[in-house]
Amino acid sequence: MASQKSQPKLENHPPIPAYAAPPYRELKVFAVDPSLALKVEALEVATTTLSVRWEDYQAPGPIGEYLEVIDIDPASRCYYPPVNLTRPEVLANSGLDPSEGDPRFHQQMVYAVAMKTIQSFESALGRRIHWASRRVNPMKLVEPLESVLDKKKSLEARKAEDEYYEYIPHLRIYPHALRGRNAYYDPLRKSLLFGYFPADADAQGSAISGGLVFTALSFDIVAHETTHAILDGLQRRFIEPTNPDVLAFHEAFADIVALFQHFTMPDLLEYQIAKARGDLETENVLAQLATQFGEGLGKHGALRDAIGKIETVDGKKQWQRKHPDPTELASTPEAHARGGILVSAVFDAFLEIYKHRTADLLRLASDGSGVLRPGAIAPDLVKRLAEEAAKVSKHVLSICIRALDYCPPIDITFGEYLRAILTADIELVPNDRFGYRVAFVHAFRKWGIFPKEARTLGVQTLLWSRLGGQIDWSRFAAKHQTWLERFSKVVKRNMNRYSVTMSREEVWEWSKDVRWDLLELFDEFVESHGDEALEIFGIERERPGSVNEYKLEVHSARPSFRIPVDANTPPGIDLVIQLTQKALVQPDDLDDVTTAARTESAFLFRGGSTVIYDVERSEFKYVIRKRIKSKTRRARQRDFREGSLNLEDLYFERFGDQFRMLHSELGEL
Amino acid sequence: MFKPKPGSTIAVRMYCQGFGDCFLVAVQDGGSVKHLVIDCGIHKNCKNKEERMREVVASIRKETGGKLAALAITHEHYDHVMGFEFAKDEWNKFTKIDEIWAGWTENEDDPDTKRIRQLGKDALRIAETALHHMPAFSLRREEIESIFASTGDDVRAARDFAIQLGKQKGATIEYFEPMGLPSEPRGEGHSPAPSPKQAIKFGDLHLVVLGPPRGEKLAKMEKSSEMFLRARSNLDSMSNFLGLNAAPASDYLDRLRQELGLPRSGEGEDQYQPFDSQFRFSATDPRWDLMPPDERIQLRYRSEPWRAIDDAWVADAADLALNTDGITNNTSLAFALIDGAGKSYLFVGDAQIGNWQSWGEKSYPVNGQSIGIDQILGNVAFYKVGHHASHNATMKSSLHKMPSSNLVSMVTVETGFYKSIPKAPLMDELKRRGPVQRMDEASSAQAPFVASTTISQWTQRPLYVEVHL
Repeated sequence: MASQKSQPKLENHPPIPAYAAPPYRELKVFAVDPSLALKVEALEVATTTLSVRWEDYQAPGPIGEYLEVIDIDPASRCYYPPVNLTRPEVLANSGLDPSEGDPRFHQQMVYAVAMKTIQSFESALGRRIHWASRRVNPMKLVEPLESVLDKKKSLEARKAEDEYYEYIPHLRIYPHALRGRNAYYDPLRKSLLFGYFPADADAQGSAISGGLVFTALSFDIVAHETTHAILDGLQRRFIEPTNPDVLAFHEAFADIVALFQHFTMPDLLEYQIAKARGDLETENVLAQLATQFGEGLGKHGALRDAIGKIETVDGKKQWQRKHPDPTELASTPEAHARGGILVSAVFDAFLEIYKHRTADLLRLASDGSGVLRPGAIAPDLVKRLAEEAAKVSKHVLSICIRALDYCPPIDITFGEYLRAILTADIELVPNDRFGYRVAFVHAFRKWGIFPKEARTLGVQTLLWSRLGGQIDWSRFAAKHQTWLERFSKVVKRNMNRYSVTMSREEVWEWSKDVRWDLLELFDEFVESHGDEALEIFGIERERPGSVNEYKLEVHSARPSFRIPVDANTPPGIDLVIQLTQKALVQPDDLDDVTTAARTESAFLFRGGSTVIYDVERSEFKYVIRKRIKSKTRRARQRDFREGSLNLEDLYFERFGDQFRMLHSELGEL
Repeated sequence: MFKPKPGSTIAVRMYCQGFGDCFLVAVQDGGSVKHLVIDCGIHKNCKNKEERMREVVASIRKETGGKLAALAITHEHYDHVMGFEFAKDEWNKFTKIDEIWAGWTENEDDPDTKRIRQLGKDALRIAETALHHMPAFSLRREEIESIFASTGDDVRAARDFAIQLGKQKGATIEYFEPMGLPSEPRGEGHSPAPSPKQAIKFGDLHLVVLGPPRGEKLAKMEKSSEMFLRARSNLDSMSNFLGLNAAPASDYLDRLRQELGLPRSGEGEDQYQPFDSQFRFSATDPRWDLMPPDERIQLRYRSEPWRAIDDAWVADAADLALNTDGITNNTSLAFALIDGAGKSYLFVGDAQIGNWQSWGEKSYPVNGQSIGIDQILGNVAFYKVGHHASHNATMKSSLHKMPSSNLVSMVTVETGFYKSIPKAPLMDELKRRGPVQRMDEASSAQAPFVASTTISQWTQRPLYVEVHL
């Protein structure tokens, strides 16, 4: 409005030169957490400046496109006024200076770190991320069991039900939500809640007894919680604990993203590489999470460490390198500890690649021996090693993130994640010149992570198999040519409507349309070709009117861009389609519930598949199936339900509280 | 008179009054017999509690002639001690009680006891206050109340009565320390472990007290046990909260603050605040009006109630209640009776994992021989299943050390009280190892268990089930 007023029409004159919006806004943050700023030798790297994508804020808070920071502290019964990042005093200074005593800096830091985390995902996926939609009516995370028993609904009725889901533009962040040793993503409030607490009387290291520890000032904790929220937006069913790996995966993935953020800070990276003389297998902050939080709890050192652990040797507590133990997984049911195994496996893969890629540098720097002389290493070498570490970490993180599109929609296991990692990577980088995939398989195997069904552990056998190789695809294609052509048309029509300039809300609406278009097609196919639907797409025929009707849902549909890294691979677009079905299962015989009267002890069980469809070639590439009738999975879910009830389950049953309980005061964020 | 059948050294009788513990044990004592009662309680939600408990205690008095060699009180929870109160009259008719057995955790003069109790007391008061004065808390009222039903002033009074009763009937009060010697020799300069004790004779058997732990092992339990850690943290955040929230002002809150050593309402708020006063805005702060409208975040906050976090801390109070409950369970007296053949009979009260973990790494002198916990567990012939067979009151690795066959277990459980008590996989594991008797299946008791022919008019099932071993 204002610009229109001040710009009268000047015909025949060029416009007044405009200022282009800068690509980034620089904002200062603590590189790790305030504890590093207390160490003289680390002072220079204790804070850093993040380049956060430029955006015009809706309001101070900041309230931007993805995030809204609302700083209310109910326990202290007050609000803290919002930081205004657009003020010249703030802009000219790359944001407020890091300070524990100014809540506005806390707001700036949670915003900057969360944005940085979002950027990592968007750059890996090549598309914009969305927060999980909110189910408005009934306001429940998961529909009640009875709704499974609803009579078959018309497509229109099911569409109307879809309107229960509301678009969530902003993830809300409360930097001072709780007085307690906790921080968590709340899937009901679509919010991150950060706590603060006085350090324990026996606080270690840099934590001062009684001094306040703010979880919002820990880079790792903010990145970790933001990742939970992003992952929930991508894979909504990954918070349903159907086997011991599911919640552990959520935790591990959040840790992996947080860990690799360390490598995006050049100063911190070079400092650590110099300190460790290039050997990242020694104790170093790059591999550790939430140092101050851990010390504030009276722990010896960081909250978690991907490569080491503190052990008592001769009465003294010492850091020791963790050694892979393939049997550990079986004896580690608790989500954080179990997730820790996956984190260690990924980090070991990273280290293996890093070592492989820097072996030449070390030989150059050591007259060919590869063994460095004692003492500090040359600054040039530090810089080159840091560059390699940054590059490899970026690749590894991208691989881990891109793999999410290749996971089943439900009931994820670590082994399946490994298969997803390899398949996603081979789609992008057909030849594995630097041995990334081999390193992943090797590291995962050492930690005992591999798919149960795998007969051998070579990269090739672990890939999801291409659809063409599994069945007589040409016969299928000939028989269902008309349906396939219609499918292709529908996909192309929708892809033509898709554009990178669409707003996030428009993309969300678009995706909804696609889901309904595809549901019609799949519904029709399943109805008329039940056996083939099961064989190819892993979905059971619907059974209208029965107690378990296996109602089909197109859970999500999103484009996945293959942006090639080498010239030999063409770019491409896949459509990632997630199909799901649900049933009520009787725990004793694992059969479907057949009458409404028997639902009391029954549990909700899901099946489904992830379908990867190549848009340009009109080709079904992969179908990652989890069949709803699988007795093995049913038994596994039943046993897990019975064996895994946590402390609170003794008395309460609340869904959606997983993160709060998981991220409880035990010091497990 | 209740006594072991010929050829048996011990007889264990589980009364079936309803969810809760009351055991009568008879052991051979050179040709004669000694009687031991372990706990006397019933769950708050049972009907006709007084009538049921009077019936039970009358039966005990008849079967023992009103004389007990020992009365054991494992821990202070409703379902373990309220029967003393409900059947006071019956208990007063006893003529002799030789010993009261309790953990050192029941000795209120003990500094460790004081400390642990204070934690529980603070927790209880805070959660109660929250329950009664904070509207948001009522959302979870039912859950919290069900937990706090297990504790309170009436429970304390029932326990006190039991100890007084013992004193009146001539008993010596034993506040037991865990027995045993550290198995690893200590380095020079270290003093020996406090009061290591030989197993003591009980009839023809020996009593080995395993827990509650003390000293380093207690410290370890408090430091590593998740409920201790969580309770402390919950307590921090809750007391901070109460320390700050002047409203609603009430005498009750002020008294509470005083007891907790917190400032009175309105006083000393600053010491709890994380930031300087210039940063702190109340909802109606006049400074809001001086700021640009888009900086008034309280309006945005209030505009989306589903995202509000005013009551997020309530979850902490619920956790606090839960964890306090677990702490009391861990103060349980846990002991084994060991016979001449080395067979052991294990009674653990409601001991949870932290208590179990403290039993290892030492040796127990029994009858001149020194045995370790693995030997005791390896020879368990009878197991009173901990905490009504809940998921964290039978340590898996310990259960796996118990005999794989002929292990006789009794479980004081009824369904309908807690969702996952008893814990199905635990019950299955017990059944694989030997005969298991549940309280609520008394009417279908099978060998080696024998149910009473007396059917209680209150429960419509046998008054008790017993086993002779």
